[in-house]
Amino acid sequence: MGYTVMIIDDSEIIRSVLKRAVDLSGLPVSEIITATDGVDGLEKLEENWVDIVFTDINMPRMNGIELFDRMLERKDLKNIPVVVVSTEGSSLRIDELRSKGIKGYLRKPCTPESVRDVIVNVLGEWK
Amino acid sequence: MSIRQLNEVVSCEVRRVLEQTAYLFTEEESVPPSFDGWASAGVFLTFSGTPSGYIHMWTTDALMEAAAVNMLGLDSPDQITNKNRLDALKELLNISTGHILTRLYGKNVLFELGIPEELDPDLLQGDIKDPRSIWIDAEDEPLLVVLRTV
Repeated sequence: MGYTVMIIDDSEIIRSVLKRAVDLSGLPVSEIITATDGVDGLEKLEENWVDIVFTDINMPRMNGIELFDRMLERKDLKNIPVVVVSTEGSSLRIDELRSKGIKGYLRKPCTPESVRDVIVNVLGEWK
Repeated sequence: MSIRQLNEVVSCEVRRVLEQTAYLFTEEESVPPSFDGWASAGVFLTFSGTPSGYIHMWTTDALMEAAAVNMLGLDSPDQITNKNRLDALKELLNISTGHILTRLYGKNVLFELGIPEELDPDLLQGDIKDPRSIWIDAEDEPLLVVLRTV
């Protein structure tokens, strides 16, 4: 048993880097589901139980913010915490995301430690 | 800020991103390679805010391949495609740009970043001659970075 984590990014490279960081975070992770954009992510959220979503912002078809808005419209998805993964370090941007209801912000480069910190911060320690 | 100070920030952030994201060992390189046509590809990223500008990043096929292998967590380059190589360089530029802008202008400034795209090879010679060009040695391969504000 462990967390089920979803990673949404249009870059195969970043999905791989983030997946490895989650694997090495030391947290109990039972499954990592990946998706290539918001549309793919939404479809997979409908098919899978997910504890936390890590999403990029700029993606084709449906970006990370649109995905978040769509999740909020859905009774079954609106309580899944969403963490934005981005290169930006602007506190104004982070405040803007938090005011929308985004639960966490992970700045690239993603390390196992930073992934662990954000998961524990958002979901609490695994019990 | 002088060009030298600016270049130090850019070099420091790019090297940190190369090491932390792609596990590539880096050193500063003060003397640019004297041969022509060394770069396999270049990518650029625009940013808008105060100020606006863009960053160019050029490197060799060997370094792009090493970055892609490491970032994808593969044991060998056999499965690496040209798209993987270029995507690795684009992502390294994307991450570097975010960190460079924060270091230079602080956390209370908002920038809109573009999407990294491939550079026209004809622009390489101009970048090599630019006094703002920064050379980094990564795994014995050269990497050239130029930041310009407009």
